[in-house]
Amino acid sequence: MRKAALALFLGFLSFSLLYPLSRVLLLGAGPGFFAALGDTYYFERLLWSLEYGALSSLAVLLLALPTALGLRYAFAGRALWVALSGVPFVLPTIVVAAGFLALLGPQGVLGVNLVGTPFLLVWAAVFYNYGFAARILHGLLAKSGEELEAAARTLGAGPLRAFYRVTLPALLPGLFAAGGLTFLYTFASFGVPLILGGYRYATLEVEIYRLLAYELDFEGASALILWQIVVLSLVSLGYLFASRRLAGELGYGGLRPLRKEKAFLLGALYWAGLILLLLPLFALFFASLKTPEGLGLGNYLRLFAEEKSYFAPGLGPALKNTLRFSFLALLLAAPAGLFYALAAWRGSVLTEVLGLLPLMVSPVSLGVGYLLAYPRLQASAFLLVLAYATLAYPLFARAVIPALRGIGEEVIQAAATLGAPPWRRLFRVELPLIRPALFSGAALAFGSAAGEFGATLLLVRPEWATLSVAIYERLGKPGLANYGEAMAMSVVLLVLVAGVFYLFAKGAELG
Amino acid sequence: MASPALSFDEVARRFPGFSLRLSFDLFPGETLALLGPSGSGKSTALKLAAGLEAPDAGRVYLGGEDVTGWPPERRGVGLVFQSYALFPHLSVYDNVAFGLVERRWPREKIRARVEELLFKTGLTPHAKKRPSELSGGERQRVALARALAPRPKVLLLDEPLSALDQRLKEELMFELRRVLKGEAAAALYVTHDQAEAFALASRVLILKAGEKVQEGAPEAVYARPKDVWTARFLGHKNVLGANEARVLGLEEGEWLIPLEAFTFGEGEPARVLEAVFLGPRVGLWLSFRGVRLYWEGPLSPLPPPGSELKLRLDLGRAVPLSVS
Repeated sequence: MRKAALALFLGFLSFSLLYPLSRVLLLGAGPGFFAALGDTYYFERLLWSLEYGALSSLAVLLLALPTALGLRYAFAGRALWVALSGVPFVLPTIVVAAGFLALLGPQGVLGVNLVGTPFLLVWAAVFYNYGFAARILHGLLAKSGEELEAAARTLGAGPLRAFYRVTLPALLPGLFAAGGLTFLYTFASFGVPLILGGYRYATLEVEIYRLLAYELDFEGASALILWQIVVLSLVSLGYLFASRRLAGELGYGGLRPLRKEKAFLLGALYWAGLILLLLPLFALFFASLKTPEGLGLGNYLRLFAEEKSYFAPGLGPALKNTLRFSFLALLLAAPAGLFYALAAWRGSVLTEVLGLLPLMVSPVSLGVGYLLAYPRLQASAFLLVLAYATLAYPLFARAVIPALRGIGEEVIQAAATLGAPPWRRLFRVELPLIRPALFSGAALAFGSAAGEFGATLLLVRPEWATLSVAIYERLGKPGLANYGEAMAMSVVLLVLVAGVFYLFAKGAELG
Repeated sequence: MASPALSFDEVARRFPGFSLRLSFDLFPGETLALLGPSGSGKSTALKLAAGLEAPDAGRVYLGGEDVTGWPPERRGVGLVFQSYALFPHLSVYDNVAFGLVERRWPREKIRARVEELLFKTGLTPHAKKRPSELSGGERQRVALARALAPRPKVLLLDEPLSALDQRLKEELMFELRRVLKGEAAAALYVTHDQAEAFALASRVLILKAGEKVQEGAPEAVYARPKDVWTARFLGHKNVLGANEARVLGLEEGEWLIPLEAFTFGEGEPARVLEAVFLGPRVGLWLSFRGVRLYWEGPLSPLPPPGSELKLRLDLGRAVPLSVS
């Protein structure tokens, strides 16, 4: 069964990723590569992307490490805190960018314009990655920390020595994994630097888009994609080895009790920090309610009222497109992710690398690959859906694989001795047991498709405009009305994604 | 008498739904077993001794010194964890050397001490391995060697053999006895297994729901358990209720019939209900005056179920039990 699943998955991957990618690489390795290599402007893009990734990883780890240490203690609302701190990770880039504009943009709530500064970009990276980094580190701590620390203490190490000699080494793979993942997401990020970075702080990904969209320079873009892939593959291989040392499941050890006053202080600190972290989202809500006539629902009413906007895609069609494409993408991503999960479940490192490939290939470069490889399919929205599915299946698989690994081997062996062949076991034992993971994987896949931005900008046509595109176009147009509508539309997209997660979570609970 | 290596003076610790209250002395050179079922508070007592938990009331003394408020690193006790808690990022050698490095021993002395312990525990060929490359028994030995390395005056062992299979357990039990004697440390040994406690300890203290039930030499405690619960917990099978005791001609109350009370070949008939071959011994379930009794000892040939044996019970040897 594993072989069949692997074969089906490889079929999907060849069409959706390997072939388009090879077209990009072939073109990129041509004379354009050397031309790009000598270009100082492009080289600066590479350096800045590296710097941005490194700065962001550092900032995320510096914040996440003490957070994870504090999470070992009980404080009021701790479970909710942990759940909420993971929310930013699944938010669409365009929503996050709009939120930061609302907070610190030219018309921002705080009255300070930080757009075009690296500070804002790093903050956005922290916003995205802080929650999951803290969770990875805390998972490691909960697994081994307490007892090992106790052992070190009884052997004569004081608290600081025990931290340095035992806890920190135990955290190393987590630090590498969380830092590596943050680097991967930030180095190749698109939406945030495109909207918040300006020319000076454009990443390679933004530059690749610019080359194609404004100069139709496929050769130059392919060369930059090649650079990007080299960096991304090196880092993601490092991440792979670090995450293998995380040894699968993370623990959820008992919480350490605290005296009442200390627990209160800790809780206050954590909740204040979370509010600060989520400030852009509050600003987004506020900005969406701001109209020239004062606070009100004017922006929303205007969006719902007009069927078609003269300047930018209207809410109705954009919402319909987003829902339709995301749903179709899920139909493709779920089986692809499941086949991959079944193949990689107890597979080798090689199969695991295959699943990481979409992490190494950025959305914009995937779009470039499709334009190169399948020019005749450009007239259909199929490429858009395929891109969404390709970017989404690893998320689906990543939710499913730990669940599969959590099934005791004996249970499956029991089913086999009772006469169930592999495919029957899959439907009667494995899938029912991992039902909750299937739902959360589906939510992740749907959410990622609904918020996709980079590949969309390259592959979209006016009549397929999604919510992301509609928001982006409004942000690029002058006038308070457009700004207000963009904010309101971002809230709609935010609510849509949140609603999907809520529904899938409910679905996982039922039955 | 010398001052105790470790003593608990009315040490109390409360959790929701549980409270521990305990006093005892552990003298240099002896091994005291804290014996109790899960939830009896024996692991908590160990953590209190190591300084990993703070008592709500009472004092903890080490070598006569009040260490109640001391952090674990100041106490200098050795602790062997139930799960071993070996440092996964360090080699076997570095695990054992850990406490010596903390005590700033010179490198040559560290090497000599670690090599001595590795040799004593048969780990010399594994010195460079990581804990993940070891078998269960080897890990157990590393944990023991690591705790012993700084020559602690008090060694605390938390169910150190519970994760091992029966054969390995017995093997390591004798090894542990030897090493404990050789290191001359006072040992507090926590376990739920009475056989382990009897084999290793010079004294046992039985804990039930956070309270001391009985304390004494293993033979004495086994021969004269205080109450029904303790007798059953120690593995006695002939614990008689009031009715059965009356049938046999004992006074009101609950009684324990020890194996020494059995004499076969004379007296009244006893019917064999079940006969179990246990290797060196056999176990017999008997019906004697309608009372179910158990006897264990060397006997050959194995009497078939349904057959009858002559049995005299020496009721003078019966042990009265207080009601628990």
